[in-house]
Amino acid sequence: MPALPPGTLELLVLSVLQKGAMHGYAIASRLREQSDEVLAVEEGTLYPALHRMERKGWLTSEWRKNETGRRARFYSLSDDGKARLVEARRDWAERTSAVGRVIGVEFS
Amino acid sequence: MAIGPLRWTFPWTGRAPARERGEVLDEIDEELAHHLELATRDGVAVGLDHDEARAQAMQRFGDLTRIRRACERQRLPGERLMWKTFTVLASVAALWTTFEWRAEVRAKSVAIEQLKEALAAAESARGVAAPVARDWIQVGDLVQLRNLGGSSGYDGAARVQRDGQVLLRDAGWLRIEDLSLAEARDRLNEVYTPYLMSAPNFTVELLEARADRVEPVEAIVVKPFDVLTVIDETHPEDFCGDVRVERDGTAFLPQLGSVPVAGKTRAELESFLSSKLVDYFIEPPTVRVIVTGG
Repeated sequence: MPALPPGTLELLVLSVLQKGAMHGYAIASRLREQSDEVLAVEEGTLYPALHRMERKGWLTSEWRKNETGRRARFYSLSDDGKARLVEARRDWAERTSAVGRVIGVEFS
Repeated sequence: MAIGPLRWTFPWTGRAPARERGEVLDEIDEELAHHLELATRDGVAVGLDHDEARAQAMQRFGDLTRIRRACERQRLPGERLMWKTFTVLASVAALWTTFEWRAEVRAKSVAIEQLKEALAAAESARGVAAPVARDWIQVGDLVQLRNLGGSSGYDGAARVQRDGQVLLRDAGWLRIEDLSLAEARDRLNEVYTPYLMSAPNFTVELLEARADRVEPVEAIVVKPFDVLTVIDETHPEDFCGDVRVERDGTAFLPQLGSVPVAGKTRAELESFLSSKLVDYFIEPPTVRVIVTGG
């Protein structure tokens, strides 16, 4: 996996959860599928990150039944999380476009 | 049950009540087990037999024990306080032993003591001594932290402050004094697990070992003519710099102007400045102060 700057995992999780509440396994699967396996997170490391983000107030969680009827912890974005996502996305765009200008690659 | 940041804990230990603690740990286990079950199910769905699918799921998951502990640290933040109390007691015990040992040396040989003092004076005149072969960490040491795991961005050198802690990017202050290099490495791997996409694999090396022992005192306060490095980690571009404490105990900071800082411990100063800066930003500031000299 390529080296990624700090804060990337947060941005990815917040983006994925924009689609609605999901449990950890669904988040990990979504990250893997959408990035064509490039961002294959070591799946377990997602959980401390989710708990940390909940502690920061960006996520909320509740126990619900999953698609097979088993109890699972579902995470969703809080209002703070949505604001954080906007900010993190803007930072990311600024950073990548600045790098792009230097190395001669335009990011759309 | 959703457990937010404001959890009730016993003030004298910082621990959550046993029943609630047990519930939190059960929920962590249930959540991780749920993940492994679904991963195994998906493996079986693509034709693996159950044991193979389970083994593959475990491998993709990573080190279960480390991840479980990292989750606990996030869900039961009070436990850190417990750990801090323990390390403070351990430091006191270590200091006591040091004092006794010093007394014995003095009694045995005045000549050796004089030689040591001369050596210590020479070392402190140079500021920092050459690296010595020692595998535990003391106040004043400069340690090199490097993550050999997948993600970058957390490499660098950090000076162990007077209270035995180092300032880490994102993770904040971490006490590493009196830990062996291997123990410090384990602590870093644990605290950085929630920040990285692959298992952290830190190495810790002593870059400079301080020869003269600086006693760790939690209650050391900022005094006039100290130099402070002040950083707001949330907005490092807006608020970061060095400032000297004036004779009257104030320091001139951007946006805030002249604020009283002398007489406060570092922790007090950090929360004082964070609360002062809160009106200037949307996201709450996280001020860090490093006392760099007097």
